[in-house]
Amino acid sequence: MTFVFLLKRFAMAMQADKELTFNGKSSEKLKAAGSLLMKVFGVLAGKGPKRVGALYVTCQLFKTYFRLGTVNLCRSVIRSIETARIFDFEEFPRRDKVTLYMYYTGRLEVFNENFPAADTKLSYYMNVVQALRKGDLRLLRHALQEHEDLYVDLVLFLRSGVYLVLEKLELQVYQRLMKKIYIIQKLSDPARAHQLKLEVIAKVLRWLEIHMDLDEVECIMTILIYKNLVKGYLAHKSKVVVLSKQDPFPKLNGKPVGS
Amino acid sequence: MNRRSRGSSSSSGSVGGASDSCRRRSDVPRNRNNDNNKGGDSADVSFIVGTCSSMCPERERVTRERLRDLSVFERLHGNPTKSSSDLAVKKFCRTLSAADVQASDVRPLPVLEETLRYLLSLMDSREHPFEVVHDFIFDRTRSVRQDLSIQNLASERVIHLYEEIVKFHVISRQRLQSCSGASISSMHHLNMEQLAKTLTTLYNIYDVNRKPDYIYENEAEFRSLYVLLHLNTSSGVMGEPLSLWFRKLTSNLIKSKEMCFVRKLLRSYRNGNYRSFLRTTASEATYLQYCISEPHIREMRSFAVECINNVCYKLQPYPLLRLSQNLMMKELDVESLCHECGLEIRTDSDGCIVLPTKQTSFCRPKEGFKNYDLIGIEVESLLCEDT
Repeated sequence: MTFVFLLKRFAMAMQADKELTFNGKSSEKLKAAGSLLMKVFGVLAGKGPKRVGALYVTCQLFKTYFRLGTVNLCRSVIRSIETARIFDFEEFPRRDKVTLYMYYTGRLEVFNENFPAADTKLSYYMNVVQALRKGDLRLLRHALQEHEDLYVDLVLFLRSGVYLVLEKLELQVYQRLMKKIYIIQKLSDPARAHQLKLEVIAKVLRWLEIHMDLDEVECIMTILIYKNLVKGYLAHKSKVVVLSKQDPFPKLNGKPVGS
Repeated sequence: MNRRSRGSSSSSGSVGGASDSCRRRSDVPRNRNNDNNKGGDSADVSFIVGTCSSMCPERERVTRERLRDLSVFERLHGNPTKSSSDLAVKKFCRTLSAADVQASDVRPLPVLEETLRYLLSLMDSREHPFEVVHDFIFDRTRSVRQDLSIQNLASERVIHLYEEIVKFHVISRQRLQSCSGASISSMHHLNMEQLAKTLTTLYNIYDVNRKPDYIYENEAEFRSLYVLLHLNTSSGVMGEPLSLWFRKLTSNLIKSKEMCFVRKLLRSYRNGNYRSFLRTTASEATYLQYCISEPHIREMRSFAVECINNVCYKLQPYPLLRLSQNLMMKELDVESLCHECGLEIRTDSDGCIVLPTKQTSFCRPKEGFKNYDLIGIEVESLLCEDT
């Protein structure tokens, strides 16, 4: 399928350019991939069942243009999407792609200093960040990391004020992660599910490529309990957090953390 | 916040204003021997060019000798009525409108550089207690800044002077804490106030001299101090909130090592992650950053004690040794910190000193000046690097 081929092509171009830019040359491959993507977009956008694919291509295009620093080129893509009304976002099953679309166009709005629109779009994106609350710290870190890598992004990000907000989510993501561990433990050993071993938490974090020693895990758990994101107590000698039997992960309901 | 306040010598107004006047300055031909600026044509008044060749104008020195208004550092052989041109340094005087200033009372840049070098050399004076040293340098550097701003000096060369003055205030902040005396807390307050003002001016001068894709050697570090002064949003330190402040930084600055470091600290601080905060500080802070961070270090430690007292299982008292490792402080210091927090400690059956948890008597330590060492940071070696 063209689609898969396309993806590979894109990944290859990215890789090739990484090496090229490393050698001080410009991103020729990516540019070429960009114009190819644009052609594919033209083909896909027209036809009914392939529209999901078109959206995917769009996101890749945005990504390409942002990388290349030719953000202006996004305009024409957006115009054809928004005027042709071929995309009713609610209709798409793949919510993540829509999110990505919102994210890129939101950033474009920031770029153009159209802040109300940027706000709407980035808020949409932020809603999905809520999905991160499922507890995938890795995703959050990646999201932050990605912006660190591209300084244009970081500047934009800091300027938009979203960055400081995202950082605040960290504790809530930890909360969700603990809840996940608790739920999984409940499936395997209900009688002792309310005991979270620091060792286990460290192991889960390691899976998420976050390396923490037990002291650090203890510190995080201490804060979570103190801020009432987790109900229970720390038995430091046994290296266990004992969760409260009732409502161990209180909902925030919009209240700020720690209140 | 009225950052344009003319009451201070330091504020040179907004960025735009400063750059604007700079431009005008270069348009106007300089009049080196212009001794009578009084009420002269308005364009020249703001660009007075000083002609005073010593640290203190002769006229002022004679007057102060007569009035016995000499600091201990200015007295020739300890004589309270006699000074010399090597000892007297121009005092800060608040009531100055540009029209009243005579060029012979204002020191040109080379003299100001010399003056500042002399003043800062007094920092290590062991003859007098630090608060006396501080008081003198505090006043005289303020007058140096005043002379700079009267002449509207904002060139690259001036950057160094402001950086040195900032450094003085930062180091003072830390050293004043080990001083005792009734006026220390107000001295501390005034010191922080002038620190903030000097920083603002320094940032303006960086901006005025901005070249594309270039940051001055120490700029990132001095910019990072702003973040450290504003970690706590309710601390009441003047200035704009960080989220707005970040927007004005250039990409180079945002990417700088120093800015990444303080953003990491900011994140740990806001999350209450005391362990990461202390560790990051100990391993990455420069001497100046460390001096500014001290109150936060203290705050994070008492927060940690509060957390542990609050969340630990009552039947498992927390060993002080572990606490001292986590908080990167000496065990004896932890004992003292616990007492300050209103908590009792005791020795358990194994002979270990422990903190019994769930004590209800916890209270935040009072805003004092007591500080404990941060193990892992070698202040002495940082100092050497710095100088």
